[in-house]
Amino acid sequence: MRFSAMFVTAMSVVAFAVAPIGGAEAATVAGPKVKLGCMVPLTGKGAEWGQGAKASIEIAQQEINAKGGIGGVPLEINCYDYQTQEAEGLKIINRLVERDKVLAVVGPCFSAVFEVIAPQLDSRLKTSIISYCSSKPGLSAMSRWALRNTLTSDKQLTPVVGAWVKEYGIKKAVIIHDAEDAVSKAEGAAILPGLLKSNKVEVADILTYRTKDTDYSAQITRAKSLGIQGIALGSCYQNAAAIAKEARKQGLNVPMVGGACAGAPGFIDLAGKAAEGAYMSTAAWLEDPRPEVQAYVKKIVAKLGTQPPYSGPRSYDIVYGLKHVIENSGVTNKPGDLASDREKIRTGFAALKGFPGVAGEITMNEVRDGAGSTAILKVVNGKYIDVRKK
Amino acid sequence: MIYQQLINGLMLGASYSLVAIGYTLIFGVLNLLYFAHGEVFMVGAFIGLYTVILAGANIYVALAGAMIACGALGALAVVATVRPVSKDHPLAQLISSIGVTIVLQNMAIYIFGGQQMAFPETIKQELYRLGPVIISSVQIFILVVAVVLMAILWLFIERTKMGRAIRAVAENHETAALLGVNVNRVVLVTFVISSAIAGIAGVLDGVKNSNVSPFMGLEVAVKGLVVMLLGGLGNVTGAMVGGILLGMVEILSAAYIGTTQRDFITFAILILILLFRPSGLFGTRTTEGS
Repeated sequence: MRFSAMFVTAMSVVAFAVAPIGGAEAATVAGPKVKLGCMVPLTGKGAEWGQGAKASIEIAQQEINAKGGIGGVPLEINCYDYQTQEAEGLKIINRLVERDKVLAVVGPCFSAVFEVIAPQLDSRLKTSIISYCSSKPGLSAMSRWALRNTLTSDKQLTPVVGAWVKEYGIKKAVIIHDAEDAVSKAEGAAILPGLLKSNKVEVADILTYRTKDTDYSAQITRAKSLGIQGIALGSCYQNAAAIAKEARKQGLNVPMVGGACAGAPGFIDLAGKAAEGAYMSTAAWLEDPRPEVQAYVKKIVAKLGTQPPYSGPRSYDIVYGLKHVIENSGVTNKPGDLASDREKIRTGFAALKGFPGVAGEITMNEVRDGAGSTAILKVVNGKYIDVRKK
Repeated sequence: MIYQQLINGLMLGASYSLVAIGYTLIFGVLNLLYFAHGEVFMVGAFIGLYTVILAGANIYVALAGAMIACGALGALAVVATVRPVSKDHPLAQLISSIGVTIVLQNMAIYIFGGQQMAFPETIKQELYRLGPVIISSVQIFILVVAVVLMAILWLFIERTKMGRAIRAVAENHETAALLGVNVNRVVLVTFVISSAIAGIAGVLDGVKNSNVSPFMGLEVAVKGLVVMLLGGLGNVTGAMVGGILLGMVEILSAAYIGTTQRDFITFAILILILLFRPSGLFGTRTTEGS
């Protein structure tokens, strides 16, 4: 009895939270299919993020179509690989909007790509892009069509850096960051120095590398000479892993902390033992015991062979968020209504509050970024654990 | 710290040298910028990786496997993509080698996926203190292999009949042919040797950086070309010294000036050297050094 009472209460909360948006009338969705676009990086520095997202988007699409589609119309998602390259990203957004005529786009991942596409939206493309992994602060403000279902990296990193400093008693650290990748640069040059300072940690030096570098010996030798107790990384997981291994090779065994792009499962796969003890931020936590999270994890692991970084659950949630918005904000899906449908989706998604998802609730803030809590990941015995739960 | 950084530069430079030697040998005998050389380096790294992962082999077997497989790849490249292409048109062979680059890279992405893979620890990690520097077992291994390889190659080119033939062809194709040198055979042997060295360099790079990726060849290919120009086109000694020099410059500028200025400094030095010594540090087109 007690369980069913709780269940009913929980369901009413969800029903309230996901009620039709902004007073818009629910319309009948017409046409042979509802067409969405998707942008994923399947190669290059974003490979693991893109592959996790693509598989998750496909799972969401299959689930939705198995249950009758969106408003009774089958869902089609046109996915393209942009190889984590800005120029490819621009080509693909144009193809999706102008040739494929999609209602909205899931993606892109990576702030570097997001920030070259966003300025094209207001004047010309007028279609929502909803990123599942872009976290450089300030980017969604570039266009009213630019949305992100992910926490900006300052919000992700704040609790992580605090916990890292506290556990290891860090007094002096060095920052090593990518000088080219947008979010890594923002983290290394702006967010981490501020966070370390506010945690009373002396920043001994800020060292940089370039995305395609494979040799980090110069930076690690320099870091080692500074007598530091920790390394803070503004870095994607491949580079972060190589830096961790180089540090180990040079006998510099100090703990690391990393931001949005570093905290992928690939960091542990590539760095092996050198990853132990590192703290990472994330915008999803897949050990979460909620049944919907574990059901998703089971499906994605069966499809991908491994757990994805947070791009997976966040993109999965975006597809369901879009389904909800399309069904409840008066989208007709008629070719003649494409412009107004796109506008309805934009306003509908930007107004989402407390929409339930496997990465947590989607609540869009005033600048169209995701809000909510973040996990604090620590690598223990080759796995990420959330130290908040300890 | 400066001594430690010099060791870092030496390590980086050794892998540049090994790649540049292949470039310069091929340029010497064929007058060809063989673009696919960087991809052979990448293939070598993957063969080494899979020899270790799948067969559980040690690093020596991995090096031998990569050497043999890449040598065979070099022979295949000559037969399939160099010989059939017209020598009369100077660009034809260059375009053909760019084709090989694209084919090898895309095959690698198709087979291994587009991601980086970790190279397992095949050499027990130990640190030794030598005066002001700390050197690891991995670094010692890589340096020893690179130096031994360069010494063998140097002896081969200087002291053997085939080495003499390679030098003769590099000097002048027609004259060498008139003197009874089998130019086709020399080209084949040069490709096999260059590719085998690139294969070994690929494995060493995997060991040094602990990872391999299908895109690793491109960056190295560019650096190899720079080293070849720096040392002198077709000059093996130039490639050896030029590689070390480039590695040192890169590491020292990354350590003391900044990575964003690194390439600027590297290329500024290259331009200066070519301004004052247009044929490179060690002179152009002879394989024995000047």
